[in-house]
Amino acid sequence: MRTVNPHRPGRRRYDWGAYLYLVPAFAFYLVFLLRPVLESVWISLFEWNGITASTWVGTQNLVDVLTSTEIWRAVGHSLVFIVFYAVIPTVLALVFIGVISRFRVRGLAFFRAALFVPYILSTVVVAIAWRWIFAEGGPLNAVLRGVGLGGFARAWLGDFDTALPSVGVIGTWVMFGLAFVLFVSGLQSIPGDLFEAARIDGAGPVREFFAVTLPGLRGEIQVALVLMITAALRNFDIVWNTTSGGPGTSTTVPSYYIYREAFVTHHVGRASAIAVMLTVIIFVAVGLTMRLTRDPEAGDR
Amino acid sequence: MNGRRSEQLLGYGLLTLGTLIALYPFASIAMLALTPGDQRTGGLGIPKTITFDNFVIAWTRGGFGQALWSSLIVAIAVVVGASLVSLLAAYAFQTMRFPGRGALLAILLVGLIMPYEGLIIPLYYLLDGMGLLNTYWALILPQIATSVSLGVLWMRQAFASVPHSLAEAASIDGASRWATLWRIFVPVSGPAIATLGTLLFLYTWNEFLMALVLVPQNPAVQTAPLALSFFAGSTRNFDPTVTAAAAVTVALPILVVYVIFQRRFITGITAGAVKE
Amino acid sequence: MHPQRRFGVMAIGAAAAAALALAGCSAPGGSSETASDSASTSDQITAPVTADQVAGLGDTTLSVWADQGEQDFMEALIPAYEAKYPNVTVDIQYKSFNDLMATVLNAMNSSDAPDVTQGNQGWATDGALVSAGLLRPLDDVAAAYDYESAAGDSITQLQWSSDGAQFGTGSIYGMSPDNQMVGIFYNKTKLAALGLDVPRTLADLDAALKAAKAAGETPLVLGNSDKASAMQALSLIQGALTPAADTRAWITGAEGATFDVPSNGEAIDHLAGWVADGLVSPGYDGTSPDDAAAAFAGGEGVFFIGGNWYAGTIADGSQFGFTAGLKDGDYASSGSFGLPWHVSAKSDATIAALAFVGMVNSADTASTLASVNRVPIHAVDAGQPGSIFPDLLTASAEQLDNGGPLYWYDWATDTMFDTFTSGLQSVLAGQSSSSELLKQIQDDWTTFHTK
Repeated sequence: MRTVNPHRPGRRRYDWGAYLYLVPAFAFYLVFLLRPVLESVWISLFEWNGITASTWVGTQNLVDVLTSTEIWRAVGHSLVFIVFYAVIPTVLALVFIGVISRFRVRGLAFFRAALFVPYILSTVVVAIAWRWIFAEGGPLNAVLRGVGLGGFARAWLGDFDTALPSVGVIGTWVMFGLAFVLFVSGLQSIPGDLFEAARIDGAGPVREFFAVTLPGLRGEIQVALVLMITAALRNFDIVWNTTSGGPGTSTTVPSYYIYREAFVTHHVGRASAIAVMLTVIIFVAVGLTMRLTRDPEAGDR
Repeated sequence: MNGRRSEQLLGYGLLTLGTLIALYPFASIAMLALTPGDQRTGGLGIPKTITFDNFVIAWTRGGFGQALWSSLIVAIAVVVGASLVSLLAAYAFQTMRFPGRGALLAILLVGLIMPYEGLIIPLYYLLDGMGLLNTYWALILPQIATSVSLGVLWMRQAFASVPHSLAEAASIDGASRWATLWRIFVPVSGPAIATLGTLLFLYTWNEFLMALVLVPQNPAVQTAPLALSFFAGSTRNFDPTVTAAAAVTVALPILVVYVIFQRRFITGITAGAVKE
Repeated sequence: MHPQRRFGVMAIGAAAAAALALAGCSAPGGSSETASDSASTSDQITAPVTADQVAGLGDTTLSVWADQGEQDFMEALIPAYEAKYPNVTVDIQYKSFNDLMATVLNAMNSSDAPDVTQGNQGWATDGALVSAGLLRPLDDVAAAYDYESAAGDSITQLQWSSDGAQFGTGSIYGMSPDNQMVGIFYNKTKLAALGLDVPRTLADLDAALKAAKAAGETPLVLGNSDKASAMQALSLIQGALTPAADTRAWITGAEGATFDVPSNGEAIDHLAGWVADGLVSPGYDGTSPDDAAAAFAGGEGVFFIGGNWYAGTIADGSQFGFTAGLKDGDYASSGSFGLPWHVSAKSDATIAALAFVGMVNSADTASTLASVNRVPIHAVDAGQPGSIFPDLLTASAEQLDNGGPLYWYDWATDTMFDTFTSGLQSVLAGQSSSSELLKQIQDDWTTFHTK
């Protein structure tokens, strides 16, 4: 990437005026993003009800959170959500890509736009639509009863066995479009002669997929996984608007506890400790994802 | 070629099935919303008679006129504010040399993956201290901050592709740096700015947690998703047809914008995610 | 930039940012400024507030927060209030119960706190509000509006010590115009068809449920998507098996009290038994209580156990009846006065707020409440025949004159609602045992009360 510099100052001369251009952006960034993040760490060191004076408790909140079975259960649910929000959409989208990479698809722009609709809808709208689909008297049960599988009909979001995967399915539905759109754009940037060469070599669809398509999409897969895993770990909107963590604690997630503890039961220090924990988990997950999906030929830089 | 044929069949079959699944949930609540409340059969039925009563009830009881208006105000303010501060900063990063440039860029990158669940609690008390809770500012200021990372990186990318010759010509003409930004860089990057604006608009419009935490008390500034969540959560309104009408009302504006700008949305998402 | 490098750079960035932004942190909440003695008792009154007293404020807007269940009552009351105190405009916001509980504490603490709000007795809400010094004591209002005498002994549920450390003694901080309780709604036609009397003991109720099932009916209609409804249904059984006074002592935080007693385990197992035996409507955890009540009012099922506030939905006295808790336990079940009305200690229209809370809780409103099928604390006529209202009055008197209400389990601590309701859902679904639940509940209680 070349740096455009219209003024071409002397080699080692600095442009002190640059800071003036940076001030507005960094003012917002510091006041409303960086400082609050660090304050979360600070608040987690206190026992505080958000109203009256706080008491210094050191790392007690963090220790409590890290030894709390309910928090770890919530983290476990988040891991399940990673499967539904990231792994399944990626695999499904790759299957789609593997098939459509074999020929020129007419109307691809239309399909791409339609498949992307779930991702642009407000999560609250998504939650309400799926609440209806999963309802006792909703379309899913109607289909099951219609085909003679009425025995499986249930209030999907109100059942201990099905609530978690049901919420997960909503995530799959939302994220599939994102993965697909990213992979299509990646597919279009794979040079056509690579496919041709594979075909001349007599590669079947499967070998072609693993030899050409998959490696060609490495960058897109990485980006998609980062976006989707982050979304899975942060998941609040959909849980809040479908099950509120229930039934029992079968669909709780860390961000649900952050909200509840901070703004409903007023254990602000503890909530901050959970927030810190979630932030660390997300950074670690992103780091791991990048490491696992790195370009093998680029070496370990 | 038989294999080719069946591959095509499979391909179109998958795409069609996927499209149906992607569109069905919204279509389903749209149909539900048009069903008279007392004719709800549950399940798959297409309504025999169509009514708009549910929309009228939802609109009047849920205050969605105000909520959509609030969403629009907040989204436009964030798009304009964030684009403006981002392009200024990006201009500096792209065209100027100054100490700490790499470190500052790195600090900005943190914001790309920082979950704001991690900062929402202090944000609440910060805005409370400023007396800004339950005002538009409580939604606008933090969301400009969370948009800055994407905005700066995006605009830097766009400015990088501004042809060298153009910028040089301006400088020879004696244009100041400030003038060069506005006369050369911004106009040339028009499409990139528009795409950034579309992306930020989408994210801001759909934001839920911030609204839930930062403007819980003032219906006059509550955004559409929050109003919808409160409306659907209050059991008193729990008539599924009316709730569905409310959801459709909230979704329609963004769908219309999407249909018009769908290319921009999609290139935005893909380019925004993959580039830099 | 290559992703790997990007991540490394990011880490450096984070460290740099930390150094940049750590400056200027002080203990959250600052120094204690909310001394509870600051709870102002300005504008003391000795008689109902007159229009002249309020007129001194000039044109005023009184902001009020209320549960959405109050809407019918408020729509009748507010015009009367604004007519009596013409310089005041009431700006009322209705919230669902869960939204109200989730936001009231922060709202009352914020700079634009409502002048009047409803809260909830118990440690989670009112206890927190009192201990933060956010409420104005209302002893004078209760006396001036003859409320204290009408409430009788039950007034203790509205009293707190001024530091919020003791529940059931001290000043009156809230006033509530009606009595709420959990009881049994029954379908008269179906009971008659089954040849059954209204069950008044746990054994009778068990038998009736089984008979209904045998006849192919849904015995008990339940909607528990709010998580609270199963807990309320449990109170009927728990009230029959454990002395009400023990439960109340535990809820109000009496030293050494415990919920972890065998009879409570039996009660939980008993309810779980109903679910296991198919006596409860299927899919109850995914059904909202309002939907369940509407279905019951539409003729589904034989029994519906729920709060007397569902009489707004189940209103037809020719079809349906309502009865208090079971004789085995002196008619104990969850119950208390309704959500109490509070006046903000920070209000700058205190006298108008007192007038509002006074009017809500005056004898004059009793008939208004009765007209929307709510049981007033002040005396009222039995009302129209053919309505379910006489049943509500009888049940309320039966409970108050005998063992009294149990109060609500979730009053016990700030997190008890979640602990109790989530845990109960698990036990009812066969995911955990009653002994585990009792332990969780008591742990929650002990943690809260040893702080």
